[in-house]
Amino acid sequence: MSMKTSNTKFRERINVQMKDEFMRQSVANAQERMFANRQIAADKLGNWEEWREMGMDIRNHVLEHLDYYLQQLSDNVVKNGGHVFFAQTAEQATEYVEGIIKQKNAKKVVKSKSMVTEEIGLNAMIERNGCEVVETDLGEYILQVDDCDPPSHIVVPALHKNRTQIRDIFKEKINYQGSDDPEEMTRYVRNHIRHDFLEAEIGITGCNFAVAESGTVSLVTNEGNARLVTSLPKTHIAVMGMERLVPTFEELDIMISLLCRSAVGIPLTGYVTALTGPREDEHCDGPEEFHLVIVDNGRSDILGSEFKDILRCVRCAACVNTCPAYRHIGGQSYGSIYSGPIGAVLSPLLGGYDDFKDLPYACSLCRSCHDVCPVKIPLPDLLLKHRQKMAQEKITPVSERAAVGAFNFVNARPILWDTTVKVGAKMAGYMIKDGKLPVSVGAISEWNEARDLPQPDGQSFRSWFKNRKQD
Amino acid sequence: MTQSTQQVQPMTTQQQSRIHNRDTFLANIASKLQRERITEPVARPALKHNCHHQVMAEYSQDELKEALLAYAQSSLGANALVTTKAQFSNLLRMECLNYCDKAPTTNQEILLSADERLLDLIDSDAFAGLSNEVNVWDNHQGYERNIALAERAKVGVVFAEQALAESGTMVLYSQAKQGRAVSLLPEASIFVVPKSALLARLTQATAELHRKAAAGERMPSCVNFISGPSSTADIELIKVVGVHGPVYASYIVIDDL
Repeated sequence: MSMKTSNTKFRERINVQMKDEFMRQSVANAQERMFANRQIAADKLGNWEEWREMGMDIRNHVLEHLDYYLQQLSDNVVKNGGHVFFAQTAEQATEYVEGIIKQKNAKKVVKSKSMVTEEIGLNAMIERNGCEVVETDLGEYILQVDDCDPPSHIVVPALHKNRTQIRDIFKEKINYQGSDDPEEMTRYVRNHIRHDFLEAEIGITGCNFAVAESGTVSLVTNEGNARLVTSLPKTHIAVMGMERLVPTFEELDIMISLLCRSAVGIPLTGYVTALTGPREDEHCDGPEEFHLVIVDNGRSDILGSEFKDILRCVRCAACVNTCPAYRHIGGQSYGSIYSGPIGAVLSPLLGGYDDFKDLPYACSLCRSCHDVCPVKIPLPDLLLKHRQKMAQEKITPVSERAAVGAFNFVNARPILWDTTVKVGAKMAGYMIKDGKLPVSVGAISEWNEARDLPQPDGQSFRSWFKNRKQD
Repeated sequence: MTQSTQQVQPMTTQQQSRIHNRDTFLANIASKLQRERITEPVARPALKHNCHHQVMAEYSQDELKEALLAYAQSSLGANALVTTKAQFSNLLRMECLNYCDKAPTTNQEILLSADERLLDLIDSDAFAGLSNEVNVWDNHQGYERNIALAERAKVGVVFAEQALAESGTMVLYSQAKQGRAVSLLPEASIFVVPKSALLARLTQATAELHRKAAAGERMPSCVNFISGPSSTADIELIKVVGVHGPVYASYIVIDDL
């Protein structure tokens, strides 16, 4: 899977998703629970605004000095015996991993959850080499056995599926005979893929935050699969977005405290694992070889642009869990592995306006995402910037630009404006019947589907106001 | 502002050969930032607030213990216990058997970390008279043998460097004598920690790792912050305890250590 997950149009995707009652209900429930849990955790910690401010400052400092910290990180990784590959593009990153797979003659790779490996389409490359790849995070595993169904949430990827659907998938694909009880299904998967961890030659993970001062890669997880992936196979490859690092363990403390509370509403997840290089010589488990792949894939262009604030993101999905647009259309409507407000900003930046021009409009500008973001990314402002930029670059629809152009022309000429408004008010009075227009008017047609127009009294606001004064 | 105090040692050619594409990659970043590339240590701004140091700042070791045990028991589903050095062996034996009895038809082996701090606490006759096989991690026996033991064992017993009261977390450093698998492959994990090693939160634990890094010490290749048994909420957000990692966890705090 690469970042783009669908070839159908945005509106068609929405129309399909909006009819999925289960998905909509489960997203609504999930949002309410995750939002409440996050709020409780933030309140319990106290001084949440101070924490957020520190989070923002740390991320900004790293971005401003990114070249230095990546140099320090890579120096320390090799001093500990690891390898570092800097990949400008997705292709360079996957080619490097491919080289390792060939060199090891690997037949099986186990993976823990990683958004950046999905972004660069790593699994497809691994499979092309005749090597099996097993996604071991339960949510990712469900999607993988369901013929690689796209994720609908960056933290809970199979959020759109209910237990019955999951049972049916397991029954068909992995010979599961049990009930739809989540615990029974989870135990079945535990036993079913246990041997994969023991057999795999290579383990691949993402990286929540690297620590420059020590060359450490940290992983924030719950299921224990990432520990297995980094303890049993002989080779560990960690793939990280180039901005995902902190200077020292002191900043790691702040970032992980913010991430765990924002993502799942608890002080720490089940496992926070800090991995530094391959295992020491006298140790007998842990990888013998460690590779860190640092991926740009469009991030440096963002760094030099008006969108650079988005690179502070820690992928907690707090913005997703509060977004009313996401609540109604669900994650798969976005057509990107990154959904919700973060996806609507990031997908066009990494994947271009051609594929993702609609996403900045999947937003009511309610600003709730900005309020919950643990690193204070001004997501609504960035969505507006996208809209402005697309208008300037003439990417917005012709009809919209024509309408805006006509509005500007009329608006700049007072007499014309006055006449148009008066005529419009009269016309509207004749045309609107029972709250509906007889013809579909581009800009308001969808709005009018859900709402009734008022019955106009045939006069413009200005003439009404003038008359009112005379009374 | 705090200057990086890390000891900078020049890289060997062999080390340099393990870094690929760095210069072009970092030059590109510098150009996007519209400045020259920075290669000299950067002054790291001090954190603006102190709130992370204020959490449980006034707590005594006993209060930290109470907070740790309460959180572990109520929120993590771990079995939280307190004992003394003298009573430890007996408690450990009972706790191990407890887990072995959960599924008496399957294997009932016990795997102990070889960390002396743990072994010194266990009486020589602690497991006497039991039918259960008790093994000790032995790095000299190599990967295959140790992993096979860990995979077969019902219970793994490890010694924690520290425990964090706020989040109910056990901190483990990988060591030759205490491999990663001891707390990972067996179905149940028993963590042993002295009361004196209890800390308020992650802040104090990462401060120690920062100290190690700043002094140029080799970081343990795997530091784990473990909070309870493994879990997931990937199906309908329903919490299920026990996924790929251990299904059960016990915390034993040694009160007089």
